[in-house]
Amino acid sequence: MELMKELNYVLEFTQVYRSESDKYLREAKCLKLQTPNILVPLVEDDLIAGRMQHHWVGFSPQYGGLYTYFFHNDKVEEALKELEGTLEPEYEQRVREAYDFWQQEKTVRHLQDRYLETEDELMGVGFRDPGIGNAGCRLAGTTVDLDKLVRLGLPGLREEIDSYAQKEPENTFYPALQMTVDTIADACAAYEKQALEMLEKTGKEHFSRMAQALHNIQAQRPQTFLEGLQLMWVYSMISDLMNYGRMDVYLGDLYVQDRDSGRLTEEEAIDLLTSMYRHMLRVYKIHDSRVIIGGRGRRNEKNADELALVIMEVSRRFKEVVPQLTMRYYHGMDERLYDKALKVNAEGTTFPIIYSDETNIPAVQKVYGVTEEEAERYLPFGCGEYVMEGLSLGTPNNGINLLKALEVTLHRGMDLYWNMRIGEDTGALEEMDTFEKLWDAYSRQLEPVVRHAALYKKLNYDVAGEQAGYLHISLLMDDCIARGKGILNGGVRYENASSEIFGIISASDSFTAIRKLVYDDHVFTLPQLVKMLDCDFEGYEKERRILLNAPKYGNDNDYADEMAVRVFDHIAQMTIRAGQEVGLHRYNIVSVNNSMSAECGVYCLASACGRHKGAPMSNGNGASIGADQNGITSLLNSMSKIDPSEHVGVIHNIRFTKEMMKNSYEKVKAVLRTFYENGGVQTNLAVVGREDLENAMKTPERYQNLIIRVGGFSARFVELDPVIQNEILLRTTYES
Amino acid sequence: MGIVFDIQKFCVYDGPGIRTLVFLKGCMMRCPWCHNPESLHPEPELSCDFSKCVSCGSCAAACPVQAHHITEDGQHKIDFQKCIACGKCVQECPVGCLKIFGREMTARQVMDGVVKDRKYFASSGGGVTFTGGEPTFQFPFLMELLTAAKDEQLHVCLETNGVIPHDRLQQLAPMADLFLLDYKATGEAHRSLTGIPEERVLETLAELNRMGKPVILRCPVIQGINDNEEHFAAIRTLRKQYACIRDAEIMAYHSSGLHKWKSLGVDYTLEKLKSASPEMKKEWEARIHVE
Repeated sequence: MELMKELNYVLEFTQVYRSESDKYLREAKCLKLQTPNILVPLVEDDLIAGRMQHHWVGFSPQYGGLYTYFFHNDKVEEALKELEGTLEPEYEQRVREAYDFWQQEKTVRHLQDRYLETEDELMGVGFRDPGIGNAGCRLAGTTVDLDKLVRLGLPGLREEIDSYAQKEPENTFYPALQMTVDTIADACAAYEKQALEMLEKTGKEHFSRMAQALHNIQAQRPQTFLEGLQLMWVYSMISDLMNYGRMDVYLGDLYVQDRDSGRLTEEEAIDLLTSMYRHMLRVYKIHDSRVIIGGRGRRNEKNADELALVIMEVSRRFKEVVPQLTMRYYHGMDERLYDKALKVNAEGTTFPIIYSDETNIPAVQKVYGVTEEEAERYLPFGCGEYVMEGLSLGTPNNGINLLKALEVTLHRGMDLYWNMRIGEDTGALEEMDTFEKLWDAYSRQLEPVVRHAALYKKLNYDVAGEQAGYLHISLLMDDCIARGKGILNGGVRYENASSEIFGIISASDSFTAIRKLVYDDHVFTLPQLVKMLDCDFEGYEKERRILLNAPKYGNDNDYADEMAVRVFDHIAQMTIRAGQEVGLHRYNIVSVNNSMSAECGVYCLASACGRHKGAPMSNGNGASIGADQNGITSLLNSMSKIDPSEHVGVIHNIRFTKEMMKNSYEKVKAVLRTFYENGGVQTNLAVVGREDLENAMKTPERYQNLIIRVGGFSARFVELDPVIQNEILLRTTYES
Repeated sequence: MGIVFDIQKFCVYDGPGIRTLVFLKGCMMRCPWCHNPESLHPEPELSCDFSKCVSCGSCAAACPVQAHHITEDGQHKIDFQKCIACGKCVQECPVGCLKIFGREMTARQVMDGVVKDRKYFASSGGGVTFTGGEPTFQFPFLMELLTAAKDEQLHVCLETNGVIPHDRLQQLAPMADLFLLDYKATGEAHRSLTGIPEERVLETLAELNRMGKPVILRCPVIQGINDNEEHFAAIRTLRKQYACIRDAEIMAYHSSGLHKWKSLGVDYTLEKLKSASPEMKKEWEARIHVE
């Protein structure tokens, strides 16, 4: 009967959607129906209530269901097939009508139609599709002002909405927002009821506390740590938030107040947070789930620090791939936090990821054109793209593979992997008699792809905004309530977006080798080199060695690093221009990489950096795999040469042995501090020996708990694709 | 100009803080346990990782002095005496098993590389360490390096086997902040193991003490060779006798030098000896302990 329930819901949702034409009210009515329907029942070990599961049709408050109003054709088709012959013909007809309705009406369709009004064909959606770039659609990564939620509570939010609604009684945004607040209260009420039932059933006292907290927050602002945490979590869950902002700030005061008054012990706080962590693990958004602690610009630094220490302890004990706990470092911060952060990392947890405010606040000011106060609200979300909490969007929906762009340049627009044309003919190799001519051809391959991606991104926002107010998110984003507009309707202060760039360093090391060996030293001609690449160095092992020995980024070698800076700067500026042309407030690159550096590599031919066909590309702003051979300080120096104000997120994977962390702790601490205070953006620390990884590949059953940082996310090593496992194995581990 | 065979960044065991190590080629001692045998000979020299070699013969074809030879049964033989370290074979080798240890560098070139890590030195109380080989073996070059390092206001360590003529020591001492002085054996054993009498080292130690230069005594201990009570007692005595000794460190034997000896075409007399265990090291440390 589950299938019938789903189909009934499809009909019901479709009916509600069709019954209202005002986009704000329509969304609010849809949310009113959707919210109680997506709640997943409590389980016995829940200390905090809240999980959800989207259905086959619905509104995606961010990207939990995917893009805006979504409809999963395959699910409905499967259900109809399975129930064939058992459905009333009239009922089946209604389902089929709903199905047909959504083919035109789901938001992704609106977007594609809009894009094809001016462009010839859609870009591929993922790395398995041919092309230098690909683009998808969704709203992702917006991190709202959860501090406002916890400080005002639901009644405070209602009051604020009311005060503005009185000035604009005609604006349907306000009643829609009030209904959205209702959905939060509804979810609390539903879970309150469940908690009482669970109390009855299990006799477990924590359900009594949970029910009371859920009851209280429906009508008053949170008064305790449990209430604050519960409100934040219910809201975050039903709004697809996925990245949870500055938790030490918005819960710090409640924690310290409870602790100091004897209402809550540290261990009890740890238990509550752990329950929330378990929810995050069940949701398993391993590319999201950021929790931020530390950093400048916290209104309650002392209290926040106290909670930050507790949160780190929870991560230390939890030892899982989520949440992606992130600490912002700054000069003069509480030393206990820095020590705790390194010690938690030293246990191989891969968390907290550390970001440097010293580097990033001025850089964010510049790249986004904002004040220092606004820049202090920067947060990495997902794999490491920035948004400003409560202030900006930053969705990254497209990927661009620079190594593929170079490869296509060397083949007059042809992609030999797919054996198809994916770019213009930018000239024969023989004509590229200077490096600048090669560079120019590369630039011409790249530019249309970057422009298309920018346009798709802008339309992604525009079309979503035409369909919806994104009420859950708008509720807690600055300026929306004051302006009476949804985030995508002029409500959000900064409509920014980001573009994920892959293979930056593989491309730059390839350019370096070409420049040095073809144009400077005349060791080979360009056609000779391309011939070696096309046959994957078969019979050219000696030449491959020469290419491998060419200068490489990651060794503090100016020749190689200047090229990396040039490649980075080029794509950064090209992206900024493309964003301006389509009317995005800011459109910037990130080099954060989930596992795409390895996955995209599968579809790339051999490259002039010496990399074999199909092998992984460099990850984030790290060196080409194994190319950093001059010690950790040299790698960090190379990394620091990339201008931090030209991007909105890069990552640096650094791996130390456990022995190194243990025996030379103070020196590791000093080297990282020096990096953070001298232009270093961030570090993803992994503390694991190569031997552990090799053993884990041989006997995975014994290494189920080995967590490793892939790039923009952490994962269980034994669950990774062998291609990615191998890439991680080959990365440099720093010892003394 | 001098011959440098390695520069290593982020070293944490050879002096305080984070350090860059500069390895100068050439040594007057011939300790059988040496784990840097590529440092002994003063000139650049060839090494071959035979385990990687595919016997393709590219090296033999490129060699101007016929130092490489592939035998009929496919074995790669190198006449290391003939080799002039021109490096032509290295460029031709398709598997990268050949390498030349040692290249000519100016003091400026060395120092340009060293100062890149200045900020890490500053934050950790580190600096540069000159080592080898025996760094004083290239004395004029070492003086250039020391002068340059002092001009850059870096903290300087000198790791030495202690065989330094008096007048040279007078010139060196003011330029180094800390001496890492090897003390390898006691009595006649010193001469028989290293080829140099113990007195030469002790004279240097006494002079450093007189000059008030801080010293860390570094004691390589090799099981079955110098792990005897006479030697440990001598170390304890030195520690009590000389105020300049800030610390004494056991450098426990490890077998990592083995493959290097082989790659240089030299027999390694300690081939069968395993690395000292952590427990052994602990015990040795206890035996050089003084109150």
